[in-house]
Amino acid sequence: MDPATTFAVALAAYVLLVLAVGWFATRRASASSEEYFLAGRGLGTLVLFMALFGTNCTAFVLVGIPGQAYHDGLGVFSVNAPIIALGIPLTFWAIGAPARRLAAQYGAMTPAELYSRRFGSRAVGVLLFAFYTLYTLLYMVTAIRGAAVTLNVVTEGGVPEWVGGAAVLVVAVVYTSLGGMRATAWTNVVQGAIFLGFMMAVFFVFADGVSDGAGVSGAMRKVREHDAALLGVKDAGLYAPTAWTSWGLAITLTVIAFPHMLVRLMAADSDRALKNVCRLYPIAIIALWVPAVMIGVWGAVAFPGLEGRDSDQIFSMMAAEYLPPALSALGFLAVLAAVMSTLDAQILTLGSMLSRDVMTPADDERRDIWRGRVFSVVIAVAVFLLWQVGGQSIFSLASIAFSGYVTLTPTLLFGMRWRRFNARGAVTSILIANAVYFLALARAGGIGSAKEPAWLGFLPVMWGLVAGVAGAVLGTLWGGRAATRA
Amino acid sequence: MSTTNRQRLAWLGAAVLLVLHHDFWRERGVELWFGWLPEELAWRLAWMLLTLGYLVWFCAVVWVEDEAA
Repeated sequence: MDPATTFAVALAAYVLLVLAVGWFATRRASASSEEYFLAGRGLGTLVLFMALFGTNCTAFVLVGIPGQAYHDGLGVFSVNAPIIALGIPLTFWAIGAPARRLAAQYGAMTPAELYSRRFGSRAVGVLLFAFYTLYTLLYMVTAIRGAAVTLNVVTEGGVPEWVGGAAVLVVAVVYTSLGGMRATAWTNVVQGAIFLGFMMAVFFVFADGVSDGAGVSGAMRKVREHDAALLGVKDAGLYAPTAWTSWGLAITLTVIAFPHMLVRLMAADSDRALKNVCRLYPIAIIALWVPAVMIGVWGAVAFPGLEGRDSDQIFSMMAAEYLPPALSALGFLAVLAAVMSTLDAQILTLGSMLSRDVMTPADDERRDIWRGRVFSVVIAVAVFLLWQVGGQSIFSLASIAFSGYVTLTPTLLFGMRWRRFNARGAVTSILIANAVYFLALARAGGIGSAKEPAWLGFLPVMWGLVAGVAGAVLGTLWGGRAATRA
Repeated sequence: MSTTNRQRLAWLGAAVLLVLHHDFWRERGVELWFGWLPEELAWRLAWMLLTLGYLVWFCAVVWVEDEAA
């Protein structure tokens, strides 16, 4: 079978598989709003883990991280992977576990709805919805672009970017709107297995390819001969102590602040399932991140001389050079799976927030579900238009999203763990944190400077977080002890 | 051990892990251990395995299931 046919067959099989999963979930999804939006709050360990991990990992890990490791070496692993292996599970405990219990108690189905009911304040829900939407739409545009560019490169220009992006959105919207949370969670099991399995398998294939059959040790020796610095950590930029600390905080705290992650935690069937996920997370991060970083480091030996963002192509270049056609096709599917496993969750979550937080939930549950489906389509169209109309400026804007989510974490944490924390504290925290964050961005050099230091060597995210904590404390204590608790 | 002491131990454990993660006091080499494992990667993987142990202990001992929020 020639490579083009192999690729087409693999793509068709993948699309049919995820659509079939969506179709099978349709019957149960139509039973009630809780079933559609939260899979009946019944996700057990395996599905919950794959749903969370699949949602958490985007094309950024498969494409962006090798691209960065190409220039910076193993430091990319050091600054990212260890701290998220510790931080993400701890945020699941600190925020996710109580959020799950309170959401069930209040009958809340979205994060904004949960906090709105917790404080007895619609303003908190609307404000959270506004910032969630701002940051998530920007995040979604970059994901769509990643899938569209990969599809365009793999087909050697045969599929124009706008067609590829539209096709990915259509497939994701179809299975998401058919089967709701259950469909997205089950497709994430398939998608997570594809990209995790692929990365572990190709680690050894790439090592052999780069070292002419001498395996991992041969590949590592080649790196040392080529540029030993790639096996260490730089001491400037993101790797300087203050930036290292700021960045660690950003990537640790941002994940729990993704509404599409928090809503999955709310769908867990028990604390026991959450605990199991926390135990599995470090292992999965090692399994995914070591190959991702090493693809970039070995790529620097195999394809020296790439400048700037050109290194983002190193994943495709290594796949084309060293993998047989079937595995190469699987590589593209891995990127597509990573994109879609995040995209479906985002579409569902923003659609459900529009349906339940902006509009009043309907008395008729079937109407509520249909409204969620319609809003999923609206979100997808909005993302597509934003991508097409916004052009390159959107991608500069998108870099603010990861750090921007962090400005919401004081509200998310105190809302679950501080009894006196009230609606005034939440509103003050969110507004002040975002104001200071954007000021710090301006100070650091503009909208695209989220990874540049603002003041005293710390990144803008750090200043936004500190302001958010201060705003939460001051806003809560300002009005005396008349704290609200729904 | 009381709940308070377990929680104190959990904070202490997290603090120790953070200090070990901020390892600017350590001389970072580029040697290959056992001929194939870069020293930097070995250090980070060891740290992550320590973290895994900490999380297993944390989930078993510190995390109270269905506690009131």
